[in-house]
Amino acid sequence: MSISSDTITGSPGETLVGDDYFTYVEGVGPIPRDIFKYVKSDPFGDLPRYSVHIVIQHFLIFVTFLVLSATGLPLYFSDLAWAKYMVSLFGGVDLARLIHKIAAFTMMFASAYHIITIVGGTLRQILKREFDYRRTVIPRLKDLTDLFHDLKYFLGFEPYRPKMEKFMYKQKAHYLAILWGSFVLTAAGSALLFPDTMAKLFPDTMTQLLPSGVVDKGSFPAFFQNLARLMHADEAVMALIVIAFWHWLNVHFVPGRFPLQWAFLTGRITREHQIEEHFLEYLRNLQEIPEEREYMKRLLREKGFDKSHFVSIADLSRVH
Amino acid sequence: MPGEPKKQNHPIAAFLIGFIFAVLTLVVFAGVIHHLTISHHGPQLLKPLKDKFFPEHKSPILEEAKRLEEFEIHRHFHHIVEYPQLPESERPVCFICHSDFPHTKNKKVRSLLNMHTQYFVCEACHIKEQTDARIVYKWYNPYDDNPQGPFIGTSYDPETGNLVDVADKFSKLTPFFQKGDELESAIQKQDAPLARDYVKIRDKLTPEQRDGVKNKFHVSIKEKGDDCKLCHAEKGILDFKKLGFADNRIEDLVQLNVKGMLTKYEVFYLPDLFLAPESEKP
Amino acid sequence: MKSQRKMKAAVFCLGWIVAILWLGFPAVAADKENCLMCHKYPFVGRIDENGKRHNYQVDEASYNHSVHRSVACRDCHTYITKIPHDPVTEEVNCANVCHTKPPFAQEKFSHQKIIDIYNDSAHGIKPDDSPEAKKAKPYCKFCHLNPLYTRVSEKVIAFDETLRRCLNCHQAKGVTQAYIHMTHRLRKKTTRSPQEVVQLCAKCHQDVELMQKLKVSEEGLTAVATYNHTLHGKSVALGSQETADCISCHASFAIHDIYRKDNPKATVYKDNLMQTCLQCHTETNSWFVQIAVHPRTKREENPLIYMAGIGLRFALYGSVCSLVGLMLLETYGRRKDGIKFLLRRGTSWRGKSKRPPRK
Repeated sequence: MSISSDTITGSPGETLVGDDYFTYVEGVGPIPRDIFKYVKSDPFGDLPRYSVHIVIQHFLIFVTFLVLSATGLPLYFSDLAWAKYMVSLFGGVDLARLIHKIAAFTMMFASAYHIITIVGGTLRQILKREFDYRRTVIPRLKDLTDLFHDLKYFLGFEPYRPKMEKFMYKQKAHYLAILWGSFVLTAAGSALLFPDTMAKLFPDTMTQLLPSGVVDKGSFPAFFQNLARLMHADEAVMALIVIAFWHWLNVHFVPGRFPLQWAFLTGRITREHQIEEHFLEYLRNLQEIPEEREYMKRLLREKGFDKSHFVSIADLSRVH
Repeated sequence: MPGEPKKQNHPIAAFLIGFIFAVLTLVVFAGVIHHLTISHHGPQLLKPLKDKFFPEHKSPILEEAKRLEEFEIHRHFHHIVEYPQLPESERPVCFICHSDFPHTKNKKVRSLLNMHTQYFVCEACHIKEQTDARIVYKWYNPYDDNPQGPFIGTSYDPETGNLVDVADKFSKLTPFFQKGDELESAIQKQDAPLARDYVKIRDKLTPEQRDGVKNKFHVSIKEKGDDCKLCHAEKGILDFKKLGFADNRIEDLVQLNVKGMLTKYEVFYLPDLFLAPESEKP
Repeated sequence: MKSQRKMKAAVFCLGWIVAILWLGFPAVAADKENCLMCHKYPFVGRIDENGKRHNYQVDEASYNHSVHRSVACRDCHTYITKIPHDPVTEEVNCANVCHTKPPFAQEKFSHQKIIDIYNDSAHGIKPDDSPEAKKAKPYCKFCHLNPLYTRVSEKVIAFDETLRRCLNCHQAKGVTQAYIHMTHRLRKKTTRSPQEVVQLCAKCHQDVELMQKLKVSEEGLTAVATYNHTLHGKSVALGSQETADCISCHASFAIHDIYRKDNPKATVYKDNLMQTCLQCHTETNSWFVQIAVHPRTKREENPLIYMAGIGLRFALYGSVCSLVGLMLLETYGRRKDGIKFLLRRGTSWRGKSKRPPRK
């Protein structure tokens, strides 16, 4: 049996050591990688994942996204038969456009709220010296290796999934895509809503930044408006398709999550899900939540894992 | 036991909310499929199939007819008010060849005569008298065995002076042969098999053969209709009162208005206006 | 079928009854010479030698609710001198002086002023026009049916309440007509809705064959299509009443002064654009007016936009396919490891793993 170099530093003075199968946690015992197959989970979630702020922000974005899609799509596909009926649901196209703008501002408010929470939370953690970039959505090289590890597991070449942090590779990718998408949609949407103000914001000197001969009529505002017309619609369609075909299915319809993952309402994640996909975050949960520690200790004893091989810190020197 | 979950199964609500997500996904899926297959916004993957099985038939004749109709709207200036029409299958048989505007020869009065097709079936003026029967006139509606009116053109709106608009737009004055107490309709309805058959094969007939068939249709029809004054007169063949016309309307029809004009122009302008169709003049 | 017809008829009647009650004024004696005696009937008409149907009906009720309701027939149809009249070969001349004298005016009414503007515009027939152009150019009647009075939106003016105040001093009959005559025009720029305006202009300008015959520019050829691609066009197509239609930009308040954009008199001439856009876009500046109102995303003209469009399409197909693919693969792998779809009795891992056992 080998010793993994993957050590996690929690609060000072405590070191957790893991290996491929067993991960020894001080005060709990050696936790086998597939313990999630034996735990009991509450569909509403057992362990904290999102703060109430995040839940509110998600809900606002979720509702406004649906409203924006429902009011924006018929305008984009105005010549298709269903468009007329869709806008009539909102009381005509003029009202639908107004609702679209109101929803957009609500979404922008939710985004600003999110940024304030994230930046504020990070600052607080830094001040308290609790900040750990591994628990954030900042991409790391590990995400790439996790992805390949995971692919191998899905194809049957690896026995277990990688030990991942609070945010795994696909969540990070999705989050960053949303960050980019909402920036583009907000910028392009503002350009469509206030074309005249937008033209004022871009001085003509910007024109010189573009290669000559590619900008129609030679002005940057005109080019940017054309770009906004394209980006706003195409990005929105892409967002809707990704949300409908991937986000919803991936979150609510894959095995273990069906028919609904309550996390977006309760802010809590089920134990089996946390251990399977966010193992390293679970180890932190064990440290931070005494009840969870008790639960795991008892489960290990029940399943007979407590007596099996574990590596104490003292053994580390001998192995190396 | 600490940390043991309180709930171990999903509540019903989870299935309901999950169902909503599923429906939304399906809606978007349907949209994407539509986009990919037939929508002209997308790559139109199924267009070859669609063209093969549902070929779009472009008819230059239909397009020209539509164009002319649109042109007529622009040419007309005064609003063309759509008047309800009987479905083709319900119309009297004459319509098949003669349409709603059968009179074309006499330039001075053809439009005025055509106007009467709103009120009359063709036979009302063009029926040949029979020796053994008296002709009586009644309102006839293919949808109503005993139409009660009020009928179009029978009264004026006291407020505006316009003709009163009525619900019954299909009733027309129709001649019946009265034989004793029996009333026998004098008109040819369209279910006449002869008529249908003729329309189908008329292109294959020689002009002489065609005339022969036409004579069959017109066996009880006279080419020149009744004289205007036969009805537009105090004691005309139409009993306006009995047919439901209002008194002031009757007055206009038999006295001042219509008949007045006819007499005047007969005498002063065109003494031979109603004598013979123009085409027959030397 | 029968009930449908009857229903249609009933709705039609009811429509007119409502219309009459609503406008609430009796017919005026425009028809002094009793032309309607014959022309009021729907079947006054004929089929001509070419099989074309001519409809000679003048609907009483419509005419009495049109802007011309007090103009006598022969004020326009001047060539008619006797009844029954000969087949009509002459066209009505809208520049005729009619026998109506508008209030505050010295002379009798005529459309001459607007016709002068029109004749000068791109649509007026010029001596050096090609025969095709002469034939294709619209005359008054092509765009104008006898305009019916329509009631202005209650948002703009409370119709009955305002009218009732007039009745304090004025006679109901006269003032009601004058009131309807004026309120009919209480709209932004055109009495017609944006949809009607676009439909009317598109009737010819969408006809690519016709436009090619008239040798319009490449931009002119695609004007309707490019407009339909913009937010202006899409909103109007869906029924917006607030969005710019053709007339909003291409004509001043004279409505008929439409010129080619290289004509300095045109509202879309480069020096006049600022003023035109300012009608709606209050922050208009010299950069703003360069934004394409009829944008075309052709590769040669807009290579950057064109490439961005292709890039976005690749991003769409790429991201959706890879993400859904990953999801399917993930589901396959986890199902093989023994997970069930539904979390039940506290766990989803109720199945047996079909994977090889741990070494």
